[in-house]
Amino acid sequence: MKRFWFLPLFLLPILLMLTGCANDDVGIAQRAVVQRFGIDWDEEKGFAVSMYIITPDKLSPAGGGGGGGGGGEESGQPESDKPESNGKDKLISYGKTLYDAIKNFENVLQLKPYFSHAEALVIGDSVSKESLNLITDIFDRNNDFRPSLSIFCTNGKASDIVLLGDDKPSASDRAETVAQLGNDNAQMSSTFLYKVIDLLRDGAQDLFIPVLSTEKHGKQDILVVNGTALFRGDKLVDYISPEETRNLLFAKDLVSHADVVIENEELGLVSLSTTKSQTKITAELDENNKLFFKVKIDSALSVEEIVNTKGVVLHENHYQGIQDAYNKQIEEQVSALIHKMIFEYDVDTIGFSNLLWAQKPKVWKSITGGDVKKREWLQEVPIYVECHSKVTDVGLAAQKR
Amino acid sequence: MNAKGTISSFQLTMLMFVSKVTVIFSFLYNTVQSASGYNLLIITTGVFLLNFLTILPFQFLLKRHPGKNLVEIIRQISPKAGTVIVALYGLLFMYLTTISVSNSNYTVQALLTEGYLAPFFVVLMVLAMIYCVFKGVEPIARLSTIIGISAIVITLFIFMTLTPFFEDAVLAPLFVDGVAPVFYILLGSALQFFEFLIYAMLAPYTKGSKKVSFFNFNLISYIITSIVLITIAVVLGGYAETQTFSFFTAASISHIGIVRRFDSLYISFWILLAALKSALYLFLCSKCLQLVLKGRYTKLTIYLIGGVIAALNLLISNQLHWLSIVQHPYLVCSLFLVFIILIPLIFLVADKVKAHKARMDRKEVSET
Repeated sequence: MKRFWFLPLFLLPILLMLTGCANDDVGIAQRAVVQRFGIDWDEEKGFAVSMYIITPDKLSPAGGGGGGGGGGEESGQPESDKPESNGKDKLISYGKTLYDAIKNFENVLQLKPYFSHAEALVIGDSVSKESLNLITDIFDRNNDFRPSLSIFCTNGKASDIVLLGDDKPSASDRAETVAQLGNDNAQMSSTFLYKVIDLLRDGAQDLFIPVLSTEKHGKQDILVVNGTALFRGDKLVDYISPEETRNLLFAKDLVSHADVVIENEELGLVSLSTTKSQTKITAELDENNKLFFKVKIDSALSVEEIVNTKGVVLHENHYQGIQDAYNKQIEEQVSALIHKMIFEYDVDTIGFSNLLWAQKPKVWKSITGGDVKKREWLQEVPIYVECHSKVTDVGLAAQKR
Repeated sequence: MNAKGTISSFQLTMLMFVSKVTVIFSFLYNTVQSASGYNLLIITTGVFLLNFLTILPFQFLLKRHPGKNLVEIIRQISPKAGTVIVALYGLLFMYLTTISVSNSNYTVQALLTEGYLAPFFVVLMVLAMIYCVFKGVEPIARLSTIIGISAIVITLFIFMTLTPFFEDAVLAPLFVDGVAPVFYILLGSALQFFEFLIYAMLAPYTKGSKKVSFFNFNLISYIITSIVLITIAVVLGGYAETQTFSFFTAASISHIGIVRRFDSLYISFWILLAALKSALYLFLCSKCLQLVLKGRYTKLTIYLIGGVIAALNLLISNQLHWLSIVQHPYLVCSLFLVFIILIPLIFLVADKVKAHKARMDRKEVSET
């Protein structure tokens, strides 16, 4: 044993790193675990940070003490929406800066917010219309905020989303659940904090962020994915609908699953599920050396349902018709969205500039003069959308051969 | 297991790799866009090839004096000037140890804890290093093998978990802003391989082929660096430029199903790697001191050196400003040029001249 007397020297530094909540002398009872938070801008009070928090101290069966609740209406003071007895609190804190708002929360409630477990950040339209740059710096400097934090926008106040409902029994992950469903239905694409900061700094490509909003269902407000917010640089330009979002995701090669209904002369309405999709965008030069973009979408389809009154049964001969109708619909809709984004909003959400830079750097330089933020040239470049699909699955129903 | 004091060829590879991987995992080449994307592969491949050239001065010296390490050779070629040079190599090793401890101290403070643990951490780390020095190179090599292999596995694991993020990546084309930025970064990266010193100091105590050992080290470093850089470039893009520990940030994004945040894996092994690296350089520093101080060298000398390293660390590691000054790329590259290219070349030439003179003298004697 004598030769191992120095062993503790190796173990101690490692143990020191496993101190968890002991760091900064903050015990778990003084922590407020933030589940999701939102940022709004209030003309009078400054930044408003709304937080849905869990106070571990209160989660104990005994009820515990300390933390939560309290606060007043004055600027700089957190105001609480009835602290819940199950240890889950909903609070808004104000400050001149985000840091200031968080510190005000700490000072008044004597709880230190812990953001590492936060799943979602919701940005209110008061901030997105002003500038996203107003809020990003703190996320770069503090490793408490995870780069993989999901970002959402809302076309109202972020606090309405963050502080929504009474969240029982485990709906604290509601935003994430909604996001997951949105991803599955090609209604939205996950947007992470690091990606938002990357695109904001880069400037070559405009960013898009999924939108959350509330909908009344009976007496209850529920959370829904409601399209996408388009940005030019750091500022919100407009919101697009859920259907347009699906087309945006097709163009961005972000569709993992999408449901499309087409109309076929013989079969009537056909519900198709896009089980696989791949999009490739290429920058090409025609015979006159003129630049154009080709957006090529390849999809695998599954026939989910056929609705007609004639009782027509699916036959292999119908496949071509289904595929043609699907191709036409996707081509038209994706083209329309790209056109709208370029001509109406003057944004490059698809990232054509970036793709040109990567594929034909000399052409990119000659067109933009090296200015990554230039967008006008896109209006003069033809963009062709081509969709190729293949029915790969028709379900269990028997079909004619 | 090898006899005490000797290591296997693979252990030498791992000792060099452990030293290199701490750099790969933390402060990487500049990730500016003009030298990112596909250019990164040019850079790593260029460094890989250039390493076979820059190791040549050491290789020739070691070949001319089999069974002796770099400092012993220097002393043998020129006993007087050699002693000064060996002392300078000792200082270099001390500098490298200090930098390594400072980086780990800074990393721990930035990512894990805050200020008040710093002195305690530094003192414990230095004591652990001193313990390693007393135990000798073979135990360090054995631990390096385990930790080095683990580091490779972890890198591959994090890379695999991050592949879903590769989908919408747009990589910078080759030489997008000309050849110059790529060339400068290639050169700057190649002039930071202080692991050559480990090779030159430990090769004589290595059983098996040293050349194979060096080749393996170079190849493993090349592959792991390429994987890490490409992962960072593809996953984080421009965001990497805002992050001090870009691979750590990438690791914090990785996940498999519901299991998330593999940054803990990264950080725990990084600390072990840094501790081992520091211990190894302190050991090499002790080898130089033994040669310079001869009979005056005692265990107390190592405690004193450890104390100096700890004191320097407490001064610089809390301040990023100082930390970046003491490892400024110009300083690091200059040290590399002097200690790994210039001095070995001078002594190689001096050795050849000396040998030639000796041959001529012998010839004269035999003729008379």
